[in-house]
Amino acid sequence: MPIISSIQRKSGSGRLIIGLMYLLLTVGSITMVYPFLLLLSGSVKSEVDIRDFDVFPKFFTDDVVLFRKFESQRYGDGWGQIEKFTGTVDELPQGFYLLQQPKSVPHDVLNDWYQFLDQRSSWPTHFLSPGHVSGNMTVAELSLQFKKKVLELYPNTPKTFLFGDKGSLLNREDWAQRSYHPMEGYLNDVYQKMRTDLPLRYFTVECLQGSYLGFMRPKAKSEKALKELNDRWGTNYTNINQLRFTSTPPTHPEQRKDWWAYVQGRLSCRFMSFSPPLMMKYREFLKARYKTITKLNEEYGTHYSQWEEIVLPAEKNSKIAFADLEVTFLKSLKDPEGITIDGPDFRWEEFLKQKYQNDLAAFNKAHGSTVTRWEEIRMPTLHYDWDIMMKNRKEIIVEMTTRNYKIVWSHIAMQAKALYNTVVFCGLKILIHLIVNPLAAYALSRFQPRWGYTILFILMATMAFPDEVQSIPSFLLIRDLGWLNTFAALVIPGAANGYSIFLLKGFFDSLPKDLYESATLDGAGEMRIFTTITLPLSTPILAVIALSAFTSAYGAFTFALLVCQDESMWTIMVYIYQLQQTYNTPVVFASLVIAAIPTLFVFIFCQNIIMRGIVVPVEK
Amino acid sequence: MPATLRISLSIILLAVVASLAPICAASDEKQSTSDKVKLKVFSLPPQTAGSISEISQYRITKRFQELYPYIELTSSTKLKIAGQKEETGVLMSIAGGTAPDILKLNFRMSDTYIGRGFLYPLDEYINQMPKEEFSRRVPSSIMPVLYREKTGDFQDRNKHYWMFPNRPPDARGLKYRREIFIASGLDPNHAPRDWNELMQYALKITNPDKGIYAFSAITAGDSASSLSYQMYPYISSTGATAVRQRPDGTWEAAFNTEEAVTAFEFIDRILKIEVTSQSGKKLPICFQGNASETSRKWNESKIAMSFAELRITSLGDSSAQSVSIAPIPKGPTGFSMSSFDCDMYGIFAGQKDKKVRDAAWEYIKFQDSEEARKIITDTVVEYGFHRSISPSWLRKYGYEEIAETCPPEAELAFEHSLQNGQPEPYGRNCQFIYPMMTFPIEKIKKEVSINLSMEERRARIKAILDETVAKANEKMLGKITPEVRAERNITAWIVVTLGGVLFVYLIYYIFTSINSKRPPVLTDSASTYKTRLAALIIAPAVILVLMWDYYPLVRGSAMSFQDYNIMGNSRWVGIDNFADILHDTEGFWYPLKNAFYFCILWLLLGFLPPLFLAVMLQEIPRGKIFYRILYYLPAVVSGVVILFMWAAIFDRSQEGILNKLLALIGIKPIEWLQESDGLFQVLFRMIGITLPNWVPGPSFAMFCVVFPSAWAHLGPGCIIYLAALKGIPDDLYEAADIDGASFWHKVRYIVIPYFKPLLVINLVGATIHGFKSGGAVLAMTGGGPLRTTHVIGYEIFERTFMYLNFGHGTAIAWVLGILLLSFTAYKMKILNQVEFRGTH
Repeated sequence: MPIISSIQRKSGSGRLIIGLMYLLLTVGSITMVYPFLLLLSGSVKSEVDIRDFDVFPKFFTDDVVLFRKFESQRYGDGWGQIEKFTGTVDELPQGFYLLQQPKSVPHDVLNDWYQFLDQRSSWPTHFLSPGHVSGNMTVAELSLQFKKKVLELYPNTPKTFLFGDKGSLLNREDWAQRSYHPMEGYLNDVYQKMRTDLPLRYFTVECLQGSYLGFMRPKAKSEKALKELNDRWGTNYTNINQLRFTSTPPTHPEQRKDWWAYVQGRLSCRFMSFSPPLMMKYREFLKARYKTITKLNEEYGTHYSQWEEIVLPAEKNSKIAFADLEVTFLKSLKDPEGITIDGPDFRWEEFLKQKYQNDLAAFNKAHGSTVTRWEEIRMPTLHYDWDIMMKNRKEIIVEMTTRNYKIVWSHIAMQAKALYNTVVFCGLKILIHLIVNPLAAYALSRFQPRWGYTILFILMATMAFPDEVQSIPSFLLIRDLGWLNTFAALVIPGAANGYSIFLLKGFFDSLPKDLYESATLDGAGEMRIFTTITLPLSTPILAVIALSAFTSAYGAFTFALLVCQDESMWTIMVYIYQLQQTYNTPVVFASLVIAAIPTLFVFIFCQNIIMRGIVVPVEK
Repeated sequence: MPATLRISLSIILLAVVASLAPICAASDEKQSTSDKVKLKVFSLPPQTAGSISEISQYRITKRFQELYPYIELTSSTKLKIAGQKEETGVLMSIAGGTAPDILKLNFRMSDTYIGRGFLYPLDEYINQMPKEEFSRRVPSSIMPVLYREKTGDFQDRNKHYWMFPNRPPDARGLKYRREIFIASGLDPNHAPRDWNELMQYALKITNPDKGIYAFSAITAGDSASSLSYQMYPYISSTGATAVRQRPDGTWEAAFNTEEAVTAFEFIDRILKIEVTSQSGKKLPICFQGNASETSRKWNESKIAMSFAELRITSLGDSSAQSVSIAPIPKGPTGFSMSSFDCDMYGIFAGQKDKKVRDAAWEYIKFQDSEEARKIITDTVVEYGFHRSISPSWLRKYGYEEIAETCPPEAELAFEHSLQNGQPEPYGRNCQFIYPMMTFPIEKIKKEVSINLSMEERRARIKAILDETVAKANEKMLGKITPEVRAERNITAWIVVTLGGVLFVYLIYYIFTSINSKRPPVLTDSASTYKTRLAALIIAPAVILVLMWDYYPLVRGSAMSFQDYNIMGNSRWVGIDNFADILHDTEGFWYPLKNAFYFCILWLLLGFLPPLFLAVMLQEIPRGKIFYRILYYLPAVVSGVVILFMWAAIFDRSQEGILNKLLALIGIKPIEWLQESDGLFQVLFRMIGITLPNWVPGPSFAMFCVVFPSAWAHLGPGCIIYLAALKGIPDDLYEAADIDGASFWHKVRYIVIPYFKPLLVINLVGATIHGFKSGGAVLAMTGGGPLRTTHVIGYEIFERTFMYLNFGHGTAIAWVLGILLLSFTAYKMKILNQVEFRGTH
């Protein structure tokens, strides 16, 4: 019954008090709910927006935020990657979280670009590479798919192999990088299959311009250095990004020097082709190095029958073939004469030239640009990214929202044993708590033995001692008994609890005595009395004991981890804890939301039982 | 106990447990004579790897297995405890008897590991190693670290080899972001070479409009105590050192020289100087926050310079081309000095099988061999990260052409640091030194204004340093003459005896109070049978309690009279542990005082509010269950995450959630968890009054530590009161209504008397909890700022877990326990006077 009577409730002051209570409760519950909503909202975010503490994630409505996240995923959370793949004249801000919507351009730009992409069947593999494959402390969209595929096709793959520390298995294809070589073995088969089925929107177009800029940028770090470069090159760039990579060596000697430094020292030979005289020179170089063609075939994994057949190395050749060309042969050349570079950048230029029939003015009109030479044209990478994002907006948002949960699920679902362990651990703990404590309390309450209070004292006195003193030797005892890595170590210590027994005894004492008496008169045995009278009447308090046993067992990971270091004994909580060490905050948030669900449901559905089971001390 | 604290506390307990259990023979199963020797190494690299170092590590391991097919490598499970360093996992496995045969350690840990007997001497192996190979692989500068006496061993005065490097030493250098230099109009090829330049650069770089900082410092979270480590290059570059070895071989703190004053003065300026932009915005030149914020700012290119640990195989950020490495800037006396560390392996002493030890040595020896170095170089080149490896390795292992294209600056910086470096402190008790040096930095920041004259500043800094060094030396050297020791032991005996008497009396008191009501004794024969039956039924509970409560209690108390060692050979030291802690102002009484304050705050914030909440939930006509669930929400979320959330809410910057709210009503930002001012100072500052330093009031940071746990406890805490309110008989209210009692009257004369036993029991419980807890401190402040949140629970954790000083830890726990026992005794008495009643 409420303290304020129903009459008072209707009076002015009564209403005021109740109104005030509602106000206080609401303000307080906002502080309770707010962090929980932050947690929920954070669990669908990524590193880009996790620091925006908002209850409703911005990317649902704000396309710019979505774009930042999208680009961050597309380029594997690496700022260097996006610079490399865009190669624009405009300076990019530093960091995904500062990215803005690209300036709007005429429709024709993207129309032309899509037409250009339609020619991709004639391109070599290394012009395109899938984005969304890697991420920093998270699993990227395609990596997640890939893992699933590997498990489908090769169910015997060791789980640890797929869900190792790193969380990321795929590496981004990086064709312009010399050291990059595709994966090998059966994993590559799976990957290639996935790659073939992948929609176009996942692919990024290799950008040699960006790669060259990455090489040149350090040489024009300050205004002074840029001026020096301009002087040297005979140009008047106001921004190093205006510099253009050309497909053939520039004629200006200084420009040629830098171009050559890049091609000789950095660029992968996949993008090169040699003029016939240079090709001859290359074959001679190989002849001198390997003497016989058999030896060369052996080293290169090729099947040439004579020297004249030799072409530049391809992916099926061994890495030695690449190393010989890229390191030794190119180094021996004094001048780049005869080398031509082929890449999407140049093909795009060529495509536009053809389309606008060499009419720069027409091109400028259609594309709303002001270029003075065809060489100044850049690929509209960022516009393209924005466009595909807008076209697939819904799908992308759904993917972003669910991915952290998928990652957590794939991490936990792999551990079937963990689920079993958790159920067994919680079950055993509840069972043993429900056996030991109520029995002891019943005996004390029903039989009232002479030494009952002494026993009660013995049972309860330990709560006077600081836990610190006992916990260490308890651990030693578990170890000496050989209980490490057993369920016994998890459930036996602490199974008997003096305070619980005291509470239970109090509850049993409060049950009506005449029930027992009439049962005894009817000739019921002690066992029967206990099971038919005491237990049914005590459901609420037994439920309370069971629930507290459940929550402590479910949440206990530190103790569980200490006494059960063997992985085969780990519970779900331990895995979630392990996950927290290797993934970024948003994924951790998702794992915590999942972990909170059982406890929350138990509370919501059992709160009335809990309330009835609570016994309150009152003065006699 | 709220979930937050329960989890935090269990981390502490776990850690304490982990650090103390003696080793059981880890090698039982290995004695079965199979052909293969099973070797458990520290960690095995994953087969599919991300980082270059993992890939090369994997290849080295593979090559090792080719060379030594009879050795089968396994690895110990690797799971870290949040926020703690890697060693936690090893200590846990040592305690659990699953320790690896090969332990990984660095300079700072070396003393503890040797002293605690974790390491098996390597003399027999190293003596067989050719002289030139040894000198090639072990730089003479690290010899004193790995070849030395066993600490604290009085029988064996000989030096032994204890560990062996698994890679070349790591040095420190200055890494900086080129693009920020460019944007600030600085030459990115010209790193600041001395302090003058450094400061000039910093002022130019710091940009309040764009939020760009010149430096960063981790001043919050659990790494905050390493602030002095982050700043150490400044200290060493003046020629000052943290510690110095005395003629008798012991180490003492030495950071109070004139040079050190110069360094601390400079550090203080770095932490305090602000730049004002034209638009009037202000920004300090040094970003200050917790570790994750700092690394995020660096990645976002918002921080220009930072001291970095350089490794020969990864000089600088290999991922970012825009990061360059330079030597540590020179101090005012013209030299630049840094410190270096080295990752090393040792053989676990618990491994008794010689065959396994031999295999372990082969493994250790192979790690930094020529062949392994070549594998690393090959891998790095293959993956295109050759710019991050030392060019000298490239030249040595056949990549002359590539070496020429690599920038030499990083290697020069690295060489420079190694040559001009001093080893990280590695001597006895040196692990205390960084927290010890962090204290004066914080104190200077708080107490020595930047507006004072230079002489005045120096004088005050000197005074602070002198005071800290004196304290540090007392802790490090334990300089106690036998007379003082005897004197202290006498007081300790008195206190312990009194404590013992109190203990016995309290037990007696509890016993009598609980036995004060004897039940009627039944004598008929049926009751004899029933008594026996009762005994049978009760037996399991009693046996369990005896086994899991009493036995550990007795065994645990013995440890407080020992210099307890996890590896066995614990020494009895009598009363010494108690004598030490009772005379330790800093390490016992001060934390105890803080715990007292923590407890009061907990009672105010954690004990009373649930009661009010329960009354409100009882009164409102609608939505009871709805509100009840909402208030219960924090309890279902992991405790660690609640603290994390609140750490974000307590963000000290202008962007922090609370600071934004304050700004709305025109109040300047507060540093919250990093606020070293007292509660009153902060409150008065809000309304614009500056209180002098001598009226600080209790720590404001402590308030911020207690608040989140109290908040999370609100919902779960109110449930029992709710149940109790339902149990109040209706007729009491009805009678009061007839008398015309008001709401407050009914609360005063019906509810409170009815609640009295419950309130008293809960009050006692909350008090005990408040005194013991240390988990929230561990997670949120690490005891800082200026040790104002260093509570006794945290002190116990630090001593036992971080310094493996179990004897002291248990002694403190016992003193605390006996103090708390009186509360418990009172609780038992109350419990005995009440009866429990179901509410339905």
